[in-house]
Amino acid sequence: MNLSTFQNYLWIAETTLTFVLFALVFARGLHRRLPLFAAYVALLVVETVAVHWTYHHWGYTSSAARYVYWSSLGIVLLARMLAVAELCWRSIRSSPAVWAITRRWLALLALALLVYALVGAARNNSPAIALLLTAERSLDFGIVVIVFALLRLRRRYDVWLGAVERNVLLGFAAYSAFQTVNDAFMQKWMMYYFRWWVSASVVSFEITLLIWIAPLLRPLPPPAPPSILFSKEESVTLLMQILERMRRIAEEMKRIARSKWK
Amino acid sequence: MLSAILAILLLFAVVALLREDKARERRKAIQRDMPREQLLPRHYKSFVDIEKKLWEATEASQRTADWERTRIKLRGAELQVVRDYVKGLREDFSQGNRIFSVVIGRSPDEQILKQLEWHRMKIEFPYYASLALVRFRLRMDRVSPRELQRLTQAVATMAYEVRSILQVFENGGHGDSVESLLREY
Repeated sequence: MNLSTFQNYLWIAETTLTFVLFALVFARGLHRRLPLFAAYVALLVVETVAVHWTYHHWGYTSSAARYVYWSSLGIVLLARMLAVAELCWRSIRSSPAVWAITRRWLALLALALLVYALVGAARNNSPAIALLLTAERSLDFGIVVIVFALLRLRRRYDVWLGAVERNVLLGFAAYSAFQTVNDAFMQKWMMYYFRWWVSASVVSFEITLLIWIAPLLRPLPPPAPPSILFSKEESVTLLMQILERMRRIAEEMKRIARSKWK
Repeated sequence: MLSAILAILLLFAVVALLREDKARERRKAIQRDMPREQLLPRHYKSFVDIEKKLWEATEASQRTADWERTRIKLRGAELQVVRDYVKGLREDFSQGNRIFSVVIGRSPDEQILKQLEWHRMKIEFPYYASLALVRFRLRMDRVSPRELQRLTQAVATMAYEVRSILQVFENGGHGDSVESLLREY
């Protein structure tokens, strides 16, 4: 399969942007703040190099190319999932109880995605490929849901993020939303326009790369320390007192309401 | 197909939620120099004045024993007063809720978090229900004193609980944390 000139440009742009992002992540020290995201970016570079090297040496339709493509897709998917989990942890780590609850929901969601992918794979003639494709689809939708839920939680407990983390979240959400739309349309109506649609998918990833690159063009601001008001023991004592007061207030309000409506 | 529509809607919501960060930064900058009293819920205290204005705006025939239950048709100036009051109540509630959020969000214990969250939900539900009702009536240039009273009561409960939270901190010798709570979040 030959690529058109436009597709070649897109491919060159994607590769360049991936390398620029990789260089900036390590030059700005983001790997110390978001190690799993840095690992994901590094794997994107490895994937790009490995896939193109394989295509160049063994050809696009060779079994080696097939093996390298699908295995690298699996690894990158796993890395993406871990990078999103890391962002969740970084976002709400200053709320230990909220994180403890969120962690369980995330684990449950990951399990549900895996089971869904396994069921999809079991019905298919190429179970390994079907597993990866179903996992990718469900993960894309899962990421959009997770990022939204995370931002709602962040708002509910007044926990805020730095500019870089915000952009990383936005990038993941934008790319995953596009991929979800892509999958939905591809299945039904877009196979005829396959090449254009693949190009659109590449463009969406390039936009994501630009979203990630933008805050890294300037030196990173120092990370905000986790906003902890009190030590653990002190927090528990004070919150117990607050809870007790609230119970008394609720009782008082009930009593007032009863006397008022009598 | 449903997943695609949902994904697009969620993406828009994500962008909107991320844009709130800028508004938060602006608010924080303003809060730093504000007098402390303005950082706490206060508009709800003027309910008596509003009630008096509504009584004056009521036609003589409607001034009955169950006046509170009537739906008063308001003229331009009175309508604006009630709208401003409701806007103030919303500001009060968001101020109170924010302080509540910071305090319970930092809870190291799951059980305490759940119980405090339950308390908050018991205030939030009547607040949002009353607010929706009052805003719906205001769209039709009407207001019911009873509904406005319920809305005020929900805001007053939130304000009371927040003041009691701050009191616990101050009594425990954490005056600096109270200042940080009011100005840095």
